[in-house]
Amino acid sequence: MSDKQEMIDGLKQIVKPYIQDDEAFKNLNEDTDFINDLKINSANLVDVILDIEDKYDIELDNESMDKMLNVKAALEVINAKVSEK
Amino acid sequence: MVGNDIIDIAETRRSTNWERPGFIQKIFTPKEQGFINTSADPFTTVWQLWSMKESAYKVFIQTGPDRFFNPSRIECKVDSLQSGRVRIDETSIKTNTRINSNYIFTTAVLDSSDIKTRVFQITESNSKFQSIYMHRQVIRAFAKSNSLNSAELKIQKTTTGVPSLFYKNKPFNSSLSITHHGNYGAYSILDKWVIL
Repeated sequence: MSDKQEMIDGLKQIVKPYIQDDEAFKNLNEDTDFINDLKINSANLVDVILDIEDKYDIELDNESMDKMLNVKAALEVINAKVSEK
Repeated sequence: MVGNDIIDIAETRRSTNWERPGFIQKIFTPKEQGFINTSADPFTTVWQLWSMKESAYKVFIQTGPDRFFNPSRIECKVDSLQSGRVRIDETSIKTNTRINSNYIFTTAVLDSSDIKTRVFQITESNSKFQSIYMHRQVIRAFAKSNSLNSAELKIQKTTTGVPSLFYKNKPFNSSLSITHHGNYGAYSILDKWVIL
């Protein structure tokens, strides 16, 4: 649980500069959608992906990016990539 | 089916650094990167291609697939200053782009359908309310140009985010696309529609 919460907090720091809905950001959880809830514009979603790559020292190929529309999917992709290292 | 996308040039300069290492490589195919590299104005080319991708995605999503985020799965080809073609998987989509000093605006259609489109200046600065503001503007403009009662018009979004128009709770057999960014917003609708 604490691991997962830590991951969510880490992701929260990453998305913070790009969010446009403070309320959804405050309540960020696994089901939060980057575009529909946080209102991150799609060009900035590219920044989120690049920031994730930098922070976790992983590379997100197109296939992994494809699914990264919400917090849960992002955490799954990060975990999978980190464990591959 | 119609899709559109507007990019406020000043807002984009403020909020997105396309020259960030890795950015171009993440969103453009090798062919598109070549096109950008030889462009006299790479900034405009980058955002022109981006608006083509976004508007084509909005058409593609109406054909039924799940949402996805994978810009390089969408490949653009610019035919002239205005017109282009975008390929997503096996689907080919036609685009038309208008560029001026304020915005880049692209509309996309699946076939050669005629569309009506309108660009607005947005006076609501809180981005949280911009989408509600846009819906209101669309309803007002559409009601006026088609002599309909605006109080009876409603916009609802599907689970994949596609907006559709209702009159007296009845759907239209048409396709509608709404976009907003920074100080600009627009809507596009297939020109021939009937209320079902």
